[in-house]
Amino acid sequence: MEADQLRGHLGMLLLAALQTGPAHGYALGAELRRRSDGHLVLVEGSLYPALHRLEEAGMVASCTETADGRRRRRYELTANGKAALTVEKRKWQLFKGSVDAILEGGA
Amino acid sequence: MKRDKGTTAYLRSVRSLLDVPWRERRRALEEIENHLDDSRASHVAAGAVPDEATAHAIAELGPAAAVAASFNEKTATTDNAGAVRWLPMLPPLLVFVPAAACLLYGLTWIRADGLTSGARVALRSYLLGSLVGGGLSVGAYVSIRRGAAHRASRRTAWLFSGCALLLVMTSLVR
Repeated sequence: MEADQLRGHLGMLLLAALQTGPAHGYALGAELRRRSDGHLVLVEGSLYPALHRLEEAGMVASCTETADGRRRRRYELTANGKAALTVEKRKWQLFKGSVDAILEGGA
Repeated sequence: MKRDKGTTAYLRSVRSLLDVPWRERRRALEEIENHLDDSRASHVAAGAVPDEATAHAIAELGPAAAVAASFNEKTATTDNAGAVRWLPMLPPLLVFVPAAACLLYGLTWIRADGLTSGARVALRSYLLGSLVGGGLSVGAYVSIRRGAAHRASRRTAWLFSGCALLLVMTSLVR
């Protein structure tokens, strides 16, 4: 899947990746790659602006922690984020169903 | 943790291209550096030599210009909300509109027998006020329009606004 096709869906994918628990940015990217069996071509630099947008929208919360003398930021899903993910999953299912129906010629 | 040359050069590139408030810049660079460290460690654990690991980590993160652009785009869309972005226009208009109105009114003083010296002085000052206020208004307007893409232009708009405000305060004191 090309990076351009991900545009607009990255937020939803990050929320889904955070369902398993809090994580740092790198771990989230690795989780997306793992779940997609490497088919997702992610420009990892786009992860952080997407996470910041989600945080501004109240869907994720972040906190900094110090480990091995390094400050790291960890993200976790909020209640709003869980609710938003449920809505996005429903919208995606509808969209996927519509596209499948069109591609299969209405069969 | 000591930074390698590749990471330092990459972070320097990203920093030079970032056009975001200083807090966001600090956070972005910190997260990018941590990401590069984690990615490099992962590649080294997979058997790559350190320089190769850094190169792979940078390639996966993406070109510095693209990374900076995604942060800048995100800030631009949140910064540029509605009517607030036009606020810097207010002080220049406060200079221009009254001066232009007085100038137009003052032109009615011109009679067949000409202007008194006092009227001439007044008209000159209204003309100057109109020109300065008009110039500052145009400058602020152009900066605000360009500010959609460039943060520095948004700062310039406030500079025009500040000059106009200073002018207004000076004339009030006099």
